[in-house]
Amino acid sequence: MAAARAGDKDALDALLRRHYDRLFALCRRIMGNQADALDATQEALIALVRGLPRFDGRAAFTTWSYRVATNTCLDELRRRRRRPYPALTDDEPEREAGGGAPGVDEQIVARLSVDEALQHLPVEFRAAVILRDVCTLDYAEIAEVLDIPPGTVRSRIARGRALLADRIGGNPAPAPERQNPSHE
Amino acid sequence: MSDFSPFRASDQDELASAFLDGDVTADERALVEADPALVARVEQLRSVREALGAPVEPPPSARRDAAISAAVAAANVVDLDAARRQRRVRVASIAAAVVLVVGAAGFLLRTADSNDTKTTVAASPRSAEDDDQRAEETTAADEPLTAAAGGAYAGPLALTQRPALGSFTDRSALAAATEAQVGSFKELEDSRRAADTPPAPSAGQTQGDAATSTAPACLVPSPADSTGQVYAATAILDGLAVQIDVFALDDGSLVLVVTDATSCAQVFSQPV
Repeated sequence: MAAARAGDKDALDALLRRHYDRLFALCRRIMGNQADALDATQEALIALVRGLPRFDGRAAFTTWSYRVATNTCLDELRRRRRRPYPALTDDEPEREAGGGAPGVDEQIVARLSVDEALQHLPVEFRAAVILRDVCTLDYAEIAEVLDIPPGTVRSRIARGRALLADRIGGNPAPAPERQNPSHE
Repeated sequence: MSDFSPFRASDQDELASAFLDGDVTADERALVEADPALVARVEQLRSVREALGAPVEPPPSARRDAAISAAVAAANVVDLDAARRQRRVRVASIAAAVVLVVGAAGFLLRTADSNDTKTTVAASPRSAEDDDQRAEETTAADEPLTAAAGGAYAGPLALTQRPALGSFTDRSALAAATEAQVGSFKELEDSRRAADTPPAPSAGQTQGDAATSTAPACLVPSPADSTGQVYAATAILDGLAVQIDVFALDDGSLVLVVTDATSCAQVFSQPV
């Protein structure tokens, strides 16, 4: 770590290789597909390298790197949300079936994979659940990564998991207040 | 658990989720374990957790290597936005420092001017007419007069306000001409009034362009034992535009300081 911060390229290369896979897994779950995850991971690595001189060591490098990668992914998702909505493709699920009327839409959602179900979660819930269940961080670490109180972490994880359970279990129309992070 | 209102459901989910993570109190744990519906919800959430924790498809090694190489290369690339931000901070810092220095200098000059006026009035009472004339000149020139005592940094009399002594080929001639002029003044005020009537050339002095310039004068520090500046002028010394400052010392003697008007470097100084 010290050598990497001092500009040793071999040390930096080794550091990035050591952490690449777990950062990619995080980005893969947040972004929802392989291609976007690869791009986001690369952005995150660059952000890590540029931020390394400012890394003060107060947090563990792992926690800090999760923070950088999570922010990179969330920034990218927010950018996309501002763009015109792309046309649906065959390998992409229909998002947010309007009206929530039961029927064919529900049957489709009930078969969604975990990744697809994750894309229906508000990003705030998604990040918290992934940091807990994919990265296995504890509540305090997640609070540090997301810069929110631990109580909010607990709430977001619970709501995110509940929404996922409902989606995957065939109950895709959860109570509205469960979808709104502002109710925390 | 049959009363599953949305709010209750949210609370139950939070309890079940916290139970799954082992983040519950003993009471909460007992509550969950005693409620079959809650236990079932915990199992649902556990399934979600296991599904999420399943390994993702590993990235192609080529993309992995490329991403790492790009990141390592980025270590050498200047982040233009960050560089611009740093430059803005530097410029703002310098500007703030300049403002502070100028403000402090202005305050010191005003303070020195105030002290000078008080000292002059006490040491050499003047008529009301003289005082009026002095006030008018000070206002018109908008320049602090600098008979600063006790080695204080003397504020310079602008070059345009100084009499032009003429051109000299050597230092001794310049010193002699200066000495001849200083004898007629007791204070810097008087020498400034003489700026409108340049003296006639003396021995060793040649006719030429006066060193009067529109450029501001150099700040010449007065000697440590100075009681004030008594004379200021400009001259040409061997082709070099110089400013002349004469200070009175506390032993009654005078010292001449000749400064390069362009570079503000001291050319020489000597008693007169």
